Amino acid sequence: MKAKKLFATFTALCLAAAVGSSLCACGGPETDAEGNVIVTMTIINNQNQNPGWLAMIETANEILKEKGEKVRIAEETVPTESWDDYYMKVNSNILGEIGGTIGRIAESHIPLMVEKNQLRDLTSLKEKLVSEGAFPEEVFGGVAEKDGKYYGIPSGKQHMVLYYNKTLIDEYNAAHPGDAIPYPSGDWDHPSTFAEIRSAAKKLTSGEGASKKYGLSIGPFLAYAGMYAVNSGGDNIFNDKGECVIASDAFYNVYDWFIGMLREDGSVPNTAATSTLDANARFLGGNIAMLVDGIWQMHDICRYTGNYEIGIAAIPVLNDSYTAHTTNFSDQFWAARNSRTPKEDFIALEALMSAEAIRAAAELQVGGIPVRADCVDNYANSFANTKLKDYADVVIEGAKRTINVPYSTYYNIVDQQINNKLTIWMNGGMTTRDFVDFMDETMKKGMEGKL
Amino acid sequence: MDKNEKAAEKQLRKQEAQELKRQKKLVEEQYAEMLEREEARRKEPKTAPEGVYLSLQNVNKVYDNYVQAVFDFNLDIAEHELIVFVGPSGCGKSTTLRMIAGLESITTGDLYIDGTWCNEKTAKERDVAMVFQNYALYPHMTVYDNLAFGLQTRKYAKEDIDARVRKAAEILQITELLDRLPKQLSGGQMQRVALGRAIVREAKVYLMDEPLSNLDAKLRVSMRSEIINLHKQLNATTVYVTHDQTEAMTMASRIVVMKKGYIQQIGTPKEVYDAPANTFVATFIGAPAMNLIECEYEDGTLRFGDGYTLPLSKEQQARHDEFYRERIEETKKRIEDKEYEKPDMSYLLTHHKEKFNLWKFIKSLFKPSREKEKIKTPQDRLGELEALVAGYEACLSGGHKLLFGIRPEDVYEEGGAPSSAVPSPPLSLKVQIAELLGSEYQVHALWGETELIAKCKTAREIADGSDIALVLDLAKTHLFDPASTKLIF
Amino acid sequence: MKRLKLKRMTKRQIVSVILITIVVMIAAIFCLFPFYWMILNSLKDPDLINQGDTSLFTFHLTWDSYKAVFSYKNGLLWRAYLNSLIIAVTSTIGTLFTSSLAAFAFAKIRFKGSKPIYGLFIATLMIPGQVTMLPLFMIFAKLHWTNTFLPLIIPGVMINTYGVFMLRSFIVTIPDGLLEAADVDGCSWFRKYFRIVLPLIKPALITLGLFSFIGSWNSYMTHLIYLSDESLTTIPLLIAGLKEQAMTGVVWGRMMAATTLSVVPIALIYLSCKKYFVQGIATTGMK
Repeated sequence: MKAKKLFATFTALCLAAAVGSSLCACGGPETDAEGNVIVTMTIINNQNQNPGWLAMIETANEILKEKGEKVRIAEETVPTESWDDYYMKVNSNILGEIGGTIGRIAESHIPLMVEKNQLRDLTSLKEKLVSEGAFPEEVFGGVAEKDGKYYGIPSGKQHMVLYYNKTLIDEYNAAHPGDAIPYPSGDWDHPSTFAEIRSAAKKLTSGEGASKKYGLSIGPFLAYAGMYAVNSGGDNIFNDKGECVIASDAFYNVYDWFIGMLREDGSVPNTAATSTLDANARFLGGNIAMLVDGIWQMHDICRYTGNYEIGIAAIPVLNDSYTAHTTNFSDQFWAARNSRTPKEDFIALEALMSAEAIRAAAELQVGGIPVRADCVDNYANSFANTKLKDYADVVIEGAKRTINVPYSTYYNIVDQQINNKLTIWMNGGMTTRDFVDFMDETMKKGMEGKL
Repeated sequence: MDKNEKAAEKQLRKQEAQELKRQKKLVEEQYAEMLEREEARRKEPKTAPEGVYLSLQNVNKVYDNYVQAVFDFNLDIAEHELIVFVGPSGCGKSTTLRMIAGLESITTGDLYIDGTWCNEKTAKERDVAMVFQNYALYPHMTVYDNLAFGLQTRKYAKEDIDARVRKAAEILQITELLDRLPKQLSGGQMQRVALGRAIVREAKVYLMDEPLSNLDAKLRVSMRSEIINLHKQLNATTVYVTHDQTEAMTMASRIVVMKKGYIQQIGTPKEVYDAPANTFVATFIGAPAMNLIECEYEDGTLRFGDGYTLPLSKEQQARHDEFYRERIEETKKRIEDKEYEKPDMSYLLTHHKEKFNLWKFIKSLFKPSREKEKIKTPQDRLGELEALVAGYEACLSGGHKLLFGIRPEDVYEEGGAPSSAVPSPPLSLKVQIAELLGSEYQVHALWGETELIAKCKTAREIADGSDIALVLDLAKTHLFDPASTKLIF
Repeated sequence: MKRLKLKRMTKRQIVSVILITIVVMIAAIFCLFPFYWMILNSLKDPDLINQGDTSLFTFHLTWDSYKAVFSYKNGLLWRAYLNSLIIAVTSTIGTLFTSSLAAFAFAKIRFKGSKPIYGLFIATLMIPGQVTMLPLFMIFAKLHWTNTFLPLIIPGVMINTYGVFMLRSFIVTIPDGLLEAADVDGCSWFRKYFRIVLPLIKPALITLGLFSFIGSWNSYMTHLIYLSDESLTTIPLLIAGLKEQAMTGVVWGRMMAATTLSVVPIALIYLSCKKYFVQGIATTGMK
């Protein structure tokens, strides 16, 4: 009997606690000790870039304080390095009306968020920023624009460049006096050609097995293939009429070039090699001589303390008739549609897009090329005290020659399916032509909604 | 088959099905009615019968599927008695025991223990102790803990528990086993621990459910005497269930013989042995079983198959006539009470409500249906009862068959009967088998068409196939009526 | 002749024993190698790993990776340990308690509709966790239980279908006679549960407890969506946080060290409960 009573009281207490806790926390927006509304911003756990974003947030808070606004920004770092997991967290936050009401997310996930109606319409903010004259109209839009409305504010422009290990090239040149490798060209009008890069990569490859050193790491992913195609006189996946033109000579050439270096020369590491240690780590360890990667690595590269000297070059082209282009990724700041503090979110975003805040990030080489025209110089000048001071202009110049990834609601699925076949092609199970035709087919299916 | 015959048979089957349905419905109604009546009755105030320690009054046990396990059980047990329920398996003895313990619910009837009405009390409140057939020792507790568990549950003081446990262990000589686990004990030791668990409780009633049936023969004999000694020592009221008549005879102060849920006879071992109430008790008690021989009764003389005759005394004849008069009266009363309108429970039991089992149903579609017995309609039953009355009346007037009973112990070799016996004229029979059991022979002789078993001392060697002259002790003969199987004298 | 025959028999036995030992050792190596690799890499010089060192053994061992883990975010590791431990222990104890109660009821107490209810209960096992994850999240969000440990403990405690299923199968094997003897001894249902049923299903309880503990210890996705504060971080989140996108790529040494440290408590618990896995079910007191 006694036990029954105990049990009953225990259950009753639990229920009461549940009901109580659900009712009591029903207050209004969070405020801090001074009565400022706290707007939480969600960012991904990217230790390379986060110093910059945190500096940006701090500066934004100072600006808000100066302006007398009763808003402060707090940061919520999601402990993951995968954009998919990050999106999972953001998705559940929005669903449950908890957590960050603004945040930053990769371009690739914006179409999904727009389709799910999770984003607040920021057109008025965009108009305001453009009217102030600091932002060129063209930085807005892309994936964040739908039906004339803008759902995201770009956090910066990050494009691809070719990093190279100067020390290794010097070593090779010293050892082979008659057969010197020129440094890859940093001139976007006269970049190195596919052939030059291929031969350089071959020469810089040495060794066998676990201790093999590779000449070049290049990702044959659809997102990057576009820029190489354009550099070969082709189109960035879609032509002017919006038709998918992957099955074209430009792409065939590019992928032939890939597979030549991968399988014939053996100068590009295959999936087995990059699974034990990824390309970035290998590059910095001196295991790979050249690396095509984005300028989102810039914060760490400028602080690289290793033994090698690093240089930056333009993306290679097919031959002299073409100039170099590079793929640009514009990650976006977003605001949740169901936020209870829409006014405060706006104010917070505006503060984040102020010159001082953007400069705070740019000075740490975070966020890529600033979207504010008056901050670009700050970014360029920030290289002055780093090891890469000679290459600031290569980076800035590249920003003028960008193309965008044609993200869409079906893009991610198409990309996934292509990546499934990628390994087969890389290991020789498919001919290049067949693989490129497959990419073309898959993209067309995606467009028709058959995936 | 002929077309008409087919139609007739079909009609018959249809009638049978209808009758079955009607009777099933009747059973359901009766069951519901019974439960209602019982509920109303339970609300009435109860007074315990005087001078009786444990009393079962009109106890019935009916299960949800209308199967009745115990019919109208009436028993009054005095304090300090050792009552033994004995009978073949499935006769309801364990069920009754569990009803006393509180492990089964009592459908109708009353149970009084020590003056309190106990139907709705839990097993704990009834203060009974039980010894199970498979001991039911807690396998994760030591022997000491097993013994102490019941007392701990009832919140006895620690010293009290310790004293009682040690005392019980001493009585049962298991003191050195107190720290062992049940899996380290032999069968006999586990048996003693189970007994010990009951003893420490010092309960009002001790219930034992076939405790010796899992032991080997020798151990059984020694444990039997130990239990008897224990009972003398503790002097507690005990109800003991067994299927072994030897245990019943040796241990009981009174025996309750049961068969198929009905009490056959209640009495002391001597009563049950000397005057069995019917042929079932007569053949169940005593080993080897009583000889039952068919004979013709005419004008006070019994005539056996081979021409042998036995005259009956005047008292015996009077008793015989009285018996049949009683039977006629009883059966007439049954007809008057319209007993034949009650549903035919025996038939229904074979067709009781079984849960629908898909697999069985599918199988039954493929197997040919078994020949079912014909269900008895009320008209059939009435006809049976009337035939019974006619039969009894015929018994009173003319010759009729009877069953003659005599125990093998009361059949002697000619010249070998003791002085207390009243020897009959000798029987010359041929020995079929003579089994030597050390000190005596069990002689199987052929008397006419039937077998007669006799126990003869080994004065001389008796060979199979030899001739033997046997005499019957006329003081120990019995007569049974074949129709009702009851004892005449 | 006899002596030769004996020798041949023993030889055959020796050969078979050797063969079996070899096969078992190969299997053991396959099972143990990932652990060995993990521990080895956690002790290797981090720079060497970045240079692509994949040697199977080296004498060049340092504690640098471990130091890095312990100093990560000012000793966040200890906080993560504490939080993980709190969640895992509470949820395991709760699960064991409620599952065994429910299993006991389903197995031994005859109440109307027990079979259909049990069937329905078990049918829910067929629903994958991913389907119920977000709806459950919404419920807890409305209750304002996000950013607390409650959503990580309560669902497992309230309903653990697999636990109930497993324990019920165990409890069904307890002979009814034992519980009847307990009845006569005067036990209430709770006393029967605590003193008789629970001790008899100890091996099952411990197995279920370990599964529960490990499941809670390792769960990443649920912790990710419910916990936001850094002070509420748990081991899986900490390890994911360590796997940063730095220019130097993933700092494998640090990750291996963190993973090794996360395995340590589980290994300790398993080693202390080992005998319960090896021990068979206790023989019953019935003949």
